[in-house]
Amino acid sequence: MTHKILSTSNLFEPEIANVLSLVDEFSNKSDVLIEGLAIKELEKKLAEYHRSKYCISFSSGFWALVASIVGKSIEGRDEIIMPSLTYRRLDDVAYWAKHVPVFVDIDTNSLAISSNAIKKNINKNTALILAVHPIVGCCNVNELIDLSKEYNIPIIFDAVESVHETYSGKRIGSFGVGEVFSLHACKLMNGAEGGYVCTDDDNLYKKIIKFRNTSESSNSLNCSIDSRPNDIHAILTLASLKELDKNISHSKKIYIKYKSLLSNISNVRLLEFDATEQTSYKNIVIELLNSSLISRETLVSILNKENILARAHYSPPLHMKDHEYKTITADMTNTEFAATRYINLPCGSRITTLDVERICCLIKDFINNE
Amino acid sequence: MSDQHNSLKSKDFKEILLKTYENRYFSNHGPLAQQFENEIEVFLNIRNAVSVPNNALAILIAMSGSDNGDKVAILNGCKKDVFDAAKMSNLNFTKITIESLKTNLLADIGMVIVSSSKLTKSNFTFFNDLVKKGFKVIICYSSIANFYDHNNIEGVISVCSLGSGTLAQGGIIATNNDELAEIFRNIRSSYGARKVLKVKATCNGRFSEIQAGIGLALLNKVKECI
Repeated sequence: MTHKILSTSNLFEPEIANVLSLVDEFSNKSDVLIEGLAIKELEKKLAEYHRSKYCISFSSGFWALVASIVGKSIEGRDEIIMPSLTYRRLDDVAYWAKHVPVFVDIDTNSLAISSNAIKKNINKNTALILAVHPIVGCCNVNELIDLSKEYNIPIIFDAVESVHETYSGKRIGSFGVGEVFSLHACKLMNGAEGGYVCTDDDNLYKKIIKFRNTSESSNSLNCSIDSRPNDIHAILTLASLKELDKNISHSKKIYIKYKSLLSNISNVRLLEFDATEQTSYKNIVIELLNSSLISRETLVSILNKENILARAHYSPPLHMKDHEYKTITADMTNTEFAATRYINLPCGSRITTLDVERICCLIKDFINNE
Repeated sequence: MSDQHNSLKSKDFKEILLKTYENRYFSNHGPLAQQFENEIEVFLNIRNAVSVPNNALAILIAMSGSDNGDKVAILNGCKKDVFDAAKMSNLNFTKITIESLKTNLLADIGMVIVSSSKLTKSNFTFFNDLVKKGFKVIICYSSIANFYDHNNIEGVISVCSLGSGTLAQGGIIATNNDELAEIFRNIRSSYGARKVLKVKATCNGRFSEIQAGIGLALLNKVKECI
């Protein structure tokens, strides 16, 4: 029997009727879509949602990150401090922004960039701190912003998986310093492709706009590329935004099912969402507590053979990749400890509680046989 | 093709959305993106079409994927996108007229970027010779129809715009060089790559299913006009 493919992507599909109705809303009487209108409306709605002064949408989260680095870095300096255990292309984001990535260690509890590691690696070439919210939970935002102020090094947050999260009761996206989100189909809000930046910083806003709209300007930055968003992607995102509660409610049901079933399996720990904060419950990550006896790669491979597209969490860490451009690697003790222990399990709108039962059953069988 | 995008009505966009929902694919080189590239390859009679979200990104990927460290000559007539991409790619470039290039082909130049507006019959042989001598030549077209109207030079890399606004966006890199095409695909994203290759840096250049649907609709309109 061939099972359906279960992926780690959200793939939420807003109701098609809602999407088509938005097409009408942004069309004129001659049945022609008005260029740019849906994008403006999306930026307004997202700024309201995140409670930020500005929202600037992009063709992708990748280029939104590049623009934010270019817009926020200290001029004349070229190093960006970032975690190594993170998104597989974040090193390339730094490359296109013409900066040198400095990979630093994580905090073992949160899996987020370590404040101590940042402090140890700040020097006269440090242009920016790029903190990344983990896919379950958040960075210690207040501590990192305080650190940024203390050392006078600007900070931005890669918040691609943290659209709905709060930290200390405050919505991610409302911290003002520059927070970057993704609208890829696998994320909480499905815009097919896209990304956006939230900020209260007038100067950053101006630079980001200049980066994004470079094709429309004669006076461009030294580093910029056309990265304007797409109107139809904006329409899809607006429909997703309207249905966010339905989407999150499903993810919560899936998360609770995983939590219940995984609690009966020894040597496996589910990374839990902080129930005191607002969260999307979207991503499911487990830790293999005895990774010297249990092979993560074997478990992932067994699940994949069953069409369960579980993935090794952020593997390999960025400092373990070969680079053809300059990078700097700091102490990686915690990162290397964590590098073999975590697995992303299927989640999102196409997963049912029955699917979760099957996945957990396979994990249990594997662990018991090891 | 960029001139054609205004002819798309809201109902056309609705049909594209319905098709996307029917396939249950939104991005990551899904069925519409594959169909679009296949149809462009047939239409332009070229072995490889690599689609990306906009023209600037197509130029960026074509340039950085073809870069071998040599100096790049950007000929007069090229638009701002080309200069932005050259700066972004850290290329060592010089702006030069076609006449200067013809009379004084600098020894350290390895790549030449030219706008299709300079592709007159008299220049055609010159660029053909450049390719034969081993220079990388990238020709930038303002539209697919514009590219279709020209005779292709074997061995060049062509970049075509699908539109310059925020409704009909896209860029295509077209080449008969399979090896280079694979490099471009790998820079774009691992999705749609036929073989995993090590490239200096990747970027997010995924062409969504919606963009591909728009591309297919525009391509059909161009075909109707021809």
